[in-house]
Amino acid sequence: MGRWTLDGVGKLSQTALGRVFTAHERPFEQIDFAALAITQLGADTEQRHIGILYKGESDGGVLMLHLAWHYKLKSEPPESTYAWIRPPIPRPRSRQVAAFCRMILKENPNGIPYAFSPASDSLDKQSGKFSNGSGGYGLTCTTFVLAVFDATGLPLAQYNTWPSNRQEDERWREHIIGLLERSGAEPEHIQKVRAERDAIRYRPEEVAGAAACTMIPAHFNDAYELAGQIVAKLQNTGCVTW
Amino acid sequence: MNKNALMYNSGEELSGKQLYQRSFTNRLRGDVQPNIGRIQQAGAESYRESYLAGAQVCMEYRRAGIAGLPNDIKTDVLYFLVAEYKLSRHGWLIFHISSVTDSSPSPVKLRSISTPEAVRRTETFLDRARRLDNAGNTDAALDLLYENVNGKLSLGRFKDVDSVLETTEPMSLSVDLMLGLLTSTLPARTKLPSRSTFFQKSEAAIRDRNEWEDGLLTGLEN
Repeated sequence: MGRWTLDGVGKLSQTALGRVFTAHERPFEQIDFAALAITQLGADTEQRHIGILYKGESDGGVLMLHLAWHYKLKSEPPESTYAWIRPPIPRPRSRQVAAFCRMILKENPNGIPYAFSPASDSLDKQSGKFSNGSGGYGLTCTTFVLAVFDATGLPLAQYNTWPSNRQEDERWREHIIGLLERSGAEPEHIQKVRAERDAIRYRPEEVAGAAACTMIPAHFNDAYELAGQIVAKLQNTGCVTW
Repeated sequence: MNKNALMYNSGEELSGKQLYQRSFTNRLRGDVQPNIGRIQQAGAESYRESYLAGAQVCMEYRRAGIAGLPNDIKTDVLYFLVAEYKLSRHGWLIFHISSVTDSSPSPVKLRSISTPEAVRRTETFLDRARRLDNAGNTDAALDLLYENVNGKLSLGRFKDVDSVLETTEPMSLSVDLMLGLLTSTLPARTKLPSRSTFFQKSEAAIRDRNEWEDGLLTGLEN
């Protein structure tokens, strides 16, 4: 596996995906205790989905905890169309992430709303419970992942390095708001989501890229460079979920 | 009847504070008062709780090696009917007493009480987590630890959690449980003055045991 050396700010002279695996390359059972999982969604080459793999309590089987959609927090066996990323954290810390995942699942029996709020505003770091009163309206699949690692003292990203107001993100937000409307989300919630249209977007592949860096929290430039490689790997290896 | 009051001396109703005050002046003092401090440390939230738990049957039970949770407790001067027990970090404590009189039908010294129930050793949540961990059920141990710490912190019982950090010797825990305590207390670190020392002791213990690796405690500092 390559070792990062920085050649100027944000420029990586050596890149490698040494901790990114398809399920065929390495079965999910080889995660330490927690890892990230990412897939491309259908033919839409611009849309990815991300979640957290964690080892279950009873039989040691691997489950994926992810925010699938509005109030759809799921814990289920991962499909083989996901690639997984081993974050650069010691194995015992990975075990704490898995424990926190179990607590989140227990504390949020009704799921978590989907919105563009910053991770730090929506998930109570103590209990893992979604907290509507703290200013956050909900999370995306990606900010959910960020929130979990953040709460366990393992922030994946240097948040202040992420760009805001990217044009393609604006289109994505409109698309999501349209989906929320069509899926019958509460009008009050949609109104709140609209008010968050300036929120910074963390794309699934960028957070996967952050976790694939040798050090966290990762700078945006490093995560972005690896994100491109991860997307290419998803497409080249058939990691597409329909 | 006021739910926060107790029947005392065959029908006299007293508030929690009155009970506490009376414990300083009446003849029951010798039985009750020495234990109030310990119960307050265990997290009693009211005078009434302190007074009730002041009967200290469970502490006495532990000291005497007697197990079991009796519904009626007789001392040489008091007669309690216990409605509910709760588990604290010091063991089982009387949480609710349905009646108290000072006319014990058959006066018996507290320490001489015995029960036929099977021995049930009281243990704190950390004792139990350690036991589970030692038995190879580390995930269950961590779940228990997170649930308990979160439960206490959610209720604002910072002193309780801080006391666990203050009195627990990291060397007696596995790395997983040390990290569990540090991770679950991370969001409340500014309200837990003993956490910083626990962190330092944990690092020393891990290094001592040659289990140290880079990044093991990164992000968990105070």
